[in-house]
Amino acid sequence: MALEKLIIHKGQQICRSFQLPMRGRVLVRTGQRVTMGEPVAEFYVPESYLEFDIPSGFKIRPSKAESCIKRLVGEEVDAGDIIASKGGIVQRIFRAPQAGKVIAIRNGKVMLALGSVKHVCRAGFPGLVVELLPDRGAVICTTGNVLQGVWGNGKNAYGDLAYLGGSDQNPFNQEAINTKMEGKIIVAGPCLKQDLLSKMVDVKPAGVIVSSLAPALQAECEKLDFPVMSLAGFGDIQLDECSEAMIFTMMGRQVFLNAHVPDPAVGMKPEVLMLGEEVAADVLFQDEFAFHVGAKVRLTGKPYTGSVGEIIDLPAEPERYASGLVLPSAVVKRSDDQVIRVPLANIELIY
Amino acid sequence: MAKKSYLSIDIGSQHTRAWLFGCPEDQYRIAASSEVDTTLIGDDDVQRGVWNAIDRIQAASTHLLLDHQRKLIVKNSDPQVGVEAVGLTTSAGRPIRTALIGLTEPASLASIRRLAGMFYCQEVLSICLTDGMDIGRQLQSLMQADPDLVIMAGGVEEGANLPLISASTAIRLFYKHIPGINKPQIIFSGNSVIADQLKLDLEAGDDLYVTDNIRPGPELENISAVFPAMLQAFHKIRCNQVKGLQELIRKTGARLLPSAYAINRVTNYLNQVSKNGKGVMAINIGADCSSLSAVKDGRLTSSVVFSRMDEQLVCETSAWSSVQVEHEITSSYLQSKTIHTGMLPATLEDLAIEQAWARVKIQNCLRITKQRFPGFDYELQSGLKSAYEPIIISGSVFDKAPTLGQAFLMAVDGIQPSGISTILLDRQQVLPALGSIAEFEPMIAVQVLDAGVLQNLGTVVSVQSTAREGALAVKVEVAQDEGGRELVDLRQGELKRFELPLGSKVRLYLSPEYHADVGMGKPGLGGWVSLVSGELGVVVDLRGRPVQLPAKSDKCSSVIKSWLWELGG
Repeated sequence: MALEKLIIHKGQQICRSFQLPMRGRVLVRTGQRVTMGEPVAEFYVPESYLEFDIPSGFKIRPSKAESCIKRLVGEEVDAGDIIASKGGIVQRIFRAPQAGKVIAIRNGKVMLALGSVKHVCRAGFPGLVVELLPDRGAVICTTGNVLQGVWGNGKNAYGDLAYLGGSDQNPFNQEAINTKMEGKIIVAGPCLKQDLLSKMVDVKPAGVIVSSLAPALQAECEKLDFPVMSLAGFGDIQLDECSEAMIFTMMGRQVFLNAHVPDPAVGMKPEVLMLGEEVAADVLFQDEFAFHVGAKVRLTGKPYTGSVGEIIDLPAEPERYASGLVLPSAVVKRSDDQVIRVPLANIELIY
Repeated sequence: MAKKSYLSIDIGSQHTRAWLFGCPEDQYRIAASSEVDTTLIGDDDVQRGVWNAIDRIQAASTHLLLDHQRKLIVKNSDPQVGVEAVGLTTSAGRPIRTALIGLTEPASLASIRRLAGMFYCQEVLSICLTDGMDIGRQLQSLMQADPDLVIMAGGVEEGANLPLISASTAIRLFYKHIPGINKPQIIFSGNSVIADQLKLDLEAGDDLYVTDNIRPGPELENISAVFPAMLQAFHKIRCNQVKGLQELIRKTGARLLPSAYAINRVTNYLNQVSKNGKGVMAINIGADCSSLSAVKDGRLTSSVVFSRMDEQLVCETSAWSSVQVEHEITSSYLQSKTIHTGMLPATLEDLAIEQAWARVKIQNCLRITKQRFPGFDYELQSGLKSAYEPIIISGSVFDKAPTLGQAFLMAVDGIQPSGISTILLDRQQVLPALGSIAEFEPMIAVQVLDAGVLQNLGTVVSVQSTAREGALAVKVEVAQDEGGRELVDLRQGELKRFELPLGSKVRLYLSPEYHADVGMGKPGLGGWVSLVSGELGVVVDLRGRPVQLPAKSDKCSSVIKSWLWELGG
């Protein structure tokens, strides 16, 4: 069981790396200020490959093929350029069908890489380039408020944040989903019905943040062309107090929603950022990331899914649960003052 | 003179485990073991978890493992200090993206698919060279698939090779032009006639491994010939992917093995020493993947299956739940598990889903193994078709099960064994450790297994019958050494447990009806069976194959509950 960390923090120093999946060209330099969506690095891959077999194409002996080739490996060619030709009574010519490059000549065969498709890695928020990752990208830093979720559809966008309710104290107001929400990042409670998701899609928001999502809607959310983030996961989970408090600080302000697909292997989580807050002093002197008395936590397992609270004790002995499992545990005082015991495996440390 | 000590480390996706094997009284034993969290996430270094595990072992034993600079002491002249060798296995890490290139689908491609399935690979591309795909399209497919590993095979010895030579052009260009940070590993296990030409063509240096032909003849398959190359490629890929692994290997002098591969060694050994003529099977259910290793008549069937979730598997999980749970709740729980992989069930409902999911994962693992190995004696409709003795189960879902009956029933429902099988629980998940250390000192695995490190849960007698439910199927007489005798008539559809003292020697007389097969060779044939009782005694399973669940979900859960009650709750 690996410790799970969830960032819900004001005045946080935010440093994220933006990098290509493959080797490419870095387009920024250290110390440069970048805007949201600005290209950080790029690489090109050919659109297609074409092999031309000269002996069979020109109907000549293989030994004669080499003399027909008019280009060298590595040479760039434009559409229509002659790659190989044969003189004589019956002339034959092979031209490049589109711009590209000769990548191999062997045994009378010419391989062309045609066209090129550019892949760009863009900055997910405005900030300062603090480190270059050679051939891959860069680390960009800024300061601000961070609210992480647990699931995203892989898209990103920015816009003003509009909170429509979704907690026990502030029930979700579905009536507020109207044309005024166009271009905004909407924050809502649980999205469990198709109707509700359709209603949100119809108002053309810049992005949607929900407290939780019905599993059946996950596939549809993945197809949407704007970012969708679930703060607490799947099922019927109300917005927790910590997340709601952070949302209140962001209301009406411009936020950047990076709804990354979660990757537990690398600890990547989707998040919404509001830039500009000064770095709080406590962030600069943080304790080691570990379970400790006083740590703020959010609970993942039933029956307390989505609840937040504070660890008040870490008993040395494991506890037996209703399931019959005996597990290392923490005693947590929830925000409603209820004191409960929960398995350490079902805790996200709020940071 | 005291024998030397050995250390074995297994890095799982959730936990890192370490074992110190010592030899205090001329027999190797587990001197100490530890289990800590794996440190793989984000920028974390895998070594942190490993050193933490070694620290705990040192604290728990009197054996000095680390020197004053906190370096592991390896090959010290004093056997009381340090260790002679270190075994290292891992099942953690992303699936290895693998492209398979073969001459024909039923021959070379099928063989390399079986091979890849043993080594934590995920097939991202398959090219059949007789399908007529030109080199340009082959190259484009390779570029799009972006594999970590390319396995190419085809052509029996002295047979066809032209398509392979053509495909090597595509692989060469892919290798040369892929802008990936780490170059792909390439294994060629085809017609050896072109091996030398291929080495020259591909220009891939240390990233190319040429092995003996995996299909030396039309009906011959030699998968094990490719194992050394696969191990080297696995080592290189994982060292590129996992931060700290390369350094760990350097510091410990260990050779990295896939956990599933190490388990195969142990099942192979158990099969060799087994005198019952049946096969040996080991199934591990992990958070990210499940693995199966079965050896029968010297033939290895091994498969690693990564966990996936789709609507059909969610429905199957709902059906196997011992508590009635709405489909939506099952789906939410399983989705949450993909995000919070370490989450554990605290409520009865979550436990029921978790255990149902384990059954489905076992069935899925067997199903996919059958697809990869058509000769594997398993059918979805009838479960295993022949007996395995023993069947070893491992994984935290079994270790953490509140009762042994729950672990036993998960295994039996998932595997649906045939004939007479003993279910052993590898509670410490020590099999990979024994497999990895066996290359340094084979006696460790032999003596540790003999010492009873695996927990005997019980013996299941699976009765196959065509009779209607409720019809008399078999008469069972249980005779214990200590006197007691019990004679019971059992009917089709029942699951019956005979509670017996742990470790007692028992003789079982099975007298099946003409339509019932108890695994003695044919229906109606019975006889005496001698066995040593496990924790749950003997369980006779007359539920048929496949185990039929009622159509209504509320009845499903009550039926499963009744089976659980029979096994002690």
